[in-house]
Amino acid sequence: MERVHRSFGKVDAVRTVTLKIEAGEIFGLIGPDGAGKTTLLRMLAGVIAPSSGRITIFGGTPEAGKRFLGYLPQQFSLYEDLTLRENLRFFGGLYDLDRGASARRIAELLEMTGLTEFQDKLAGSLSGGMKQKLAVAAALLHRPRLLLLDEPTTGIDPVFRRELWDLLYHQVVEGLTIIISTPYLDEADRCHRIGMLRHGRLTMINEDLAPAGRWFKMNSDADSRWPIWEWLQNRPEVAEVHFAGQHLRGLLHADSSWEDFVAATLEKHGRQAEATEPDLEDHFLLTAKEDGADG
Amino acid sequence: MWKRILSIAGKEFIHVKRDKRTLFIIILMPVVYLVIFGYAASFDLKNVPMAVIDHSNTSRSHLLIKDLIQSDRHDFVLYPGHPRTEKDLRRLIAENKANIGLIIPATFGEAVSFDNLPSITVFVDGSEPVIAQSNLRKIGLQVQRYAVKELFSDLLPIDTDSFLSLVKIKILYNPELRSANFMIPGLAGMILLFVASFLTAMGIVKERERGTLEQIMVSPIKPFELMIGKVLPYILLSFFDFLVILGLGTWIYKVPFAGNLALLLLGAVLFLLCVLGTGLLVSTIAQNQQQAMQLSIVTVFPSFYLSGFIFPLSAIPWSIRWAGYLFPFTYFLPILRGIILKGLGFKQLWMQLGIMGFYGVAIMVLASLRFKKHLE
Repeated sequence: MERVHRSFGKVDAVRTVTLKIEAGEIFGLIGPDGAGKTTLLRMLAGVIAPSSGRITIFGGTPEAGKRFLGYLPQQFSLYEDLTLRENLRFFGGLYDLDRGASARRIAELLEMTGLTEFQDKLAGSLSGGMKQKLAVAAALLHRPRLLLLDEPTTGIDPVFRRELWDLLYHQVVEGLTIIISTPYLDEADRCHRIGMLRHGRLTMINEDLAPAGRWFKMNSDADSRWPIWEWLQNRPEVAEVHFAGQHLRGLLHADSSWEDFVAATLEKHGRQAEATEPDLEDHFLLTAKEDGADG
Repeated sequence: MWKRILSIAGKEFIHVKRDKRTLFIIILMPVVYLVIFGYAASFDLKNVPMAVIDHSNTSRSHLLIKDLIQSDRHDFVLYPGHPRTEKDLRRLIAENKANIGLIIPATFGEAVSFDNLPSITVFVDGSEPVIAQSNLRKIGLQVQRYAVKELFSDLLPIDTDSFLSLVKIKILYNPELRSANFMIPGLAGMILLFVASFLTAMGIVKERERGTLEQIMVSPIKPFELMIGKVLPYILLSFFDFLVILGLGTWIYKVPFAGNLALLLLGAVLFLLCVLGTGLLVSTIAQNQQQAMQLSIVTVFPSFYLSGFIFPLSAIPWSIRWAGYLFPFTYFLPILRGIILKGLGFKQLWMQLGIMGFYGVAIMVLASLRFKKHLE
């Protein structure tokens, strides 16, 4: 039973996105602000309609799919003047959970998120991380088959981030499909597949389709960094180069000579380029570059 | 479906419970206004100070004064000082020590004949016309009675008692002309208007302001379910307030209830439809709470002035009066007063009921369509 979704554009925000996501996978959506990630997620959630094209969720429209869907928007969207339990009970009611099942499920989720002792406190009194966990609990209340998360860990400390991901992994193991948009590439790394959205256009980042050519890295210090960078920029055999922390990483064109390049770096800068395996950020930046001028 | 509606309604009740300002409006405001309109804003005047200059100082003038002061309705009270000239009287009235001045001329005690009719001069403080009119009426009535009984019995060969009973005055519906009877039915309607319209609009706009609307729309809920759920608590609360005011009005303020309660409730329901629709409409126009408040003021306040609640409609010139007919309260008020004070029935009130019915349905339809559209 695949969850298939294909969607096309809502003009200006998301342009001609065609995508198919399998059940049980974690799909990551990365891209700069204003790229259309939130719009895409909202279309999937059935909150806004695409200007053209079709979205299919578990074989049906987003409207029909709402009862299988959980959604976590970017801002905290639960009620600060309600207690945790009141919040969860409310959302349970919206999804037609009956009393008994609802109470059990609420207790279960509070347990899972470690929020049981706060259940009668007002949601507004929680810290950012706890609020987010509550929001996740609310989204999981009705055992959705698909979970949409819009930058769920922005502004959350690393400890909470990890707890959140543990929670999510656990759900995926139980069959949940997740689409998560995130600005953090290390988070995107945890996804099965990643798509990059820029100016409304989607590019899949597929590491198997990595271009031929070898990746290199070069150490640098404060003084040498910029000269090296400039030099690399102007080298014909360098397809792409970027900063990674203190060092420089890049890709050589497939048909260029590795040895010549290494020798040149040693001669010019007194240090040599080393071979390396590309990581997600490398792919991301390369794809971003190849996307080229935007139109 | 009902589960979702009740979830929304239940949550709204919790919000109301936790919000002090809303609670105040729902609970305290009706009581405060009841006290104000029931007691304080009364046009019933008693013990009005009257300053008298009696130039004749005869038994006849004494009788007149006694008549004016000792009527068992305690309308007037004699000002204790001894004013001597008209200037004194004017000064007393200007200083608000007396509201009425009376000058009885020296010739008052003389024999009465058609050539020599006694006269008195009455000064009235006109700076507050309502009070002045009330005083004038009372004094006029008293003096005329006195005149017929004491003076003209000498002149005319008539039986003064039967003369006085020529004009029988029967004040219907509110014999004592108590302003509480006048105000409280209208007040009950105003509360309904205010709570159902204003609070509904605020409740919906707050949801939008919080940003939680998105989270709700992601669930399987339908727009009309959200609408009904949001509106339901305010229907119940406003109705509760309405009944409380009527109940307290009848019990504490002794406002008589002459008519058919069921018909009144029908009118209230139709009126509720109108004001709920207005509140919903406001919620689709206002972007935030402040705007909602301002729009609500625009839709509620004119009802206060142009519906006949305080100022009689017939006294308002048509160039302005037409505006009052745009508001549902102008139709509900005659129903309220008609049923409570006059015991009117469907036959007399069908037109107001019908107009409110149309208005209500129309505005609810308009508001619902906008509401639905707004969610997208």
